[in-house]
Amino acid sequence: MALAHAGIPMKNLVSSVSIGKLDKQLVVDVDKYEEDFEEGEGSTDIPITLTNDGKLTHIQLDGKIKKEQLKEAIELAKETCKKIYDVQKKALKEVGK
Amino acid sequence: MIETPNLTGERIKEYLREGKRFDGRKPNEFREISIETGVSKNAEGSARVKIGKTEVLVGVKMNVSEPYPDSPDKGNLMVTAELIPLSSPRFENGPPKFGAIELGRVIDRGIRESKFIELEKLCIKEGEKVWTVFIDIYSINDDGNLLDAAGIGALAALKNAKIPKYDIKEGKVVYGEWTEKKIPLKKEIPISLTVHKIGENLLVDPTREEEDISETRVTMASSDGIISSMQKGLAVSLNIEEFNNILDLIEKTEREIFKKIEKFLK
Repeated sequence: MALAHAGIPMKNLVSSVSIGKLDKQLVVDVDKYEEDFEEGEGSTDIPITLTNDGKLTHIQLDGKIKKEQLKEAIELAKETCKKIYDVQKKALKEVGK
Repeated sequence: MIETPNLTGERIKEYLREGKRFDGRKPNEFREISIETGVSKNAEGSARVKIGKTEVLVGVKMNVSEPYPDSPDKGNLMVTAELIPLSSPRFENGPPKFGAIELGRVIDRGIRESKFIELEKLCIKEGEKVWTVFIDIYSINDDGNLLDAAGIGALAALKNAKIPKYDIKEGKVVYGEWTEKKIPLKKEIPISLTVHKIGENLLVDPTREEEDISETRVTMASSDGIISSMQKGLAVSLNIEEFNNILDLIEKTEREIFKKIEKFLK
């Protein structure tokens, strides 16, 4: 965002979201308490960065997760990043006014 | 610096489009893996791993030190890697560069996040004395895929290690004398494997030339399909379908590699 505001030429905007898994439940936007969650299967933390056309530029994972659920997590990240992207775009347009 | 020429790169891509590689392997096929354990007399545990012409040495040392304030009842883990000059014309002496730091970090992560080492059992006195496990990785020859070789080496060296004697009165480790105790490890073994994307194709276990033109890679530690850590490397982005294919490929490869190396990890 700061880069875009500064007018630095970029190919695209990226949006990031942290997907968490608390025991077996997937959540978006984990807070500190959720990161330290230790019941059941414990917490899994997956920061993901996507471009607005749905390409992964960054992914990292710590914890314990099955392949199928990881695929779900990425779909969830894609939806969430779309929302974040809209907010980012709107904010940049306002600044430009 | 000797880099892979563009022409070679183009030819590798051309071959991959037909599902072929220079050395006759299929894209999802590893080179021959050989493992030798107990190669160092002074280390607590050690292993030499060869994947094709790629070779690494991994040593495990242990020392007693203070625990970190946020884990007073747990042992410590430190993983470092050195890419030594004799293993490749590209590596130089001096402070570790990006490649060595990244290698150490990725292997550290695979072992730490899977909780493979039962660090809570390496506590001697809570808040005062715990065992620190050092895993040192040295490249002996780099013909691509040091990442996976180092990952396998770390597992084999840990399995091979014995805890040294500790003199409680003196508060010192008696080096050169070992107890019969092994480092407490979990049953599930987190094998760290990397998939590379070149052009539109995915492959495992790249040679030096293939690794040079790799556009992006994903390293994942998993045990029997349960993924415990993952990291994407290099700059090119992936679409979600490609990423899902990578997950499938790693899962399949993990099972195959596990069968091959199981007997060295007892």
